[in-house]
Amino acid sequence: MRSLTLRIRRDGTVEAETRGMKGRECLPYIAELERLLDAEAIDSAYTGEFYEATDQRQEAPSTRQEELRGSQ
Amino acid sequence: MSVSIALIPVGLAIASAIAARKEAKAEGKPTMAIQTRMRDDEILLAALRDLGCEAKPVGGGGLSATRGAFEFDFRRDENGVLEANFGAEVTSEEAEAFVTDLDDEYTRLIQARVYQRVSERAQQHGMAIESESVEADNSIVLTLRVEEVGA
Repeated sequence: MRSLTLRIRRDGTVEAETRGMKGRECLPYIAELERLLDAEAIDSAYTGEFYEATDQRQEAPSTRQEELRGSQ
Repeated sequence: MSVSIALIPVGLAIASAIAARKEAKAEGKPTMAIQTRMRDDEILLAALRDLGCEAKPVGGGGLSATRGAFEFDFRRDENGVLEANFGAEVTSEEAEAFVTDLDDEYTRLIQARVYQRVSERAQQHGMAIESESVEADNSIVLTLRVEEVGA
């Protein structure tokens, strides 16, 4: 079963993980979650299941990681 | 698992809860400004009222509020983030304590709003809530079964 786990933290931030998806199948869910949550993805990382299917190493989808670092 | 994602609701700025205090003068009166991470006037208004403040929107964006004898206001900075401004009658400790309490209530309302959006709109996005729980740290954890979304 393909699913998403959302952790809505008490500070308002959200962590999401896709499950049961391999390769690039998971990528459309980043934008879908932004629309569903009225939120902006600021960081992302591929996990093991992605590499099981693609057998390649890639950068995670582009987000505003630089902005995040800049604000700290 | 295939990808993990960190998201921030649009009502929150990417910043620490309370940024450095700065001294300023407005119309000749000394004031103290505290940068918040709040962006949403409507949620801020609700949070202020939850804390027992009287608050109302002001022209040009922002809010004015009173709590007992203290008057303060919120103005939007160049990035759209709200800054709290207090008069000299409020000590820096009092102002910081108040903004900390306000931030806590504001983020509680943000969390509730995000949960409400998921509950009400998941189906429109091809998802259905399979399970939900509240963790010891008051995080809400939802498992969503997903169908197709536009690739």
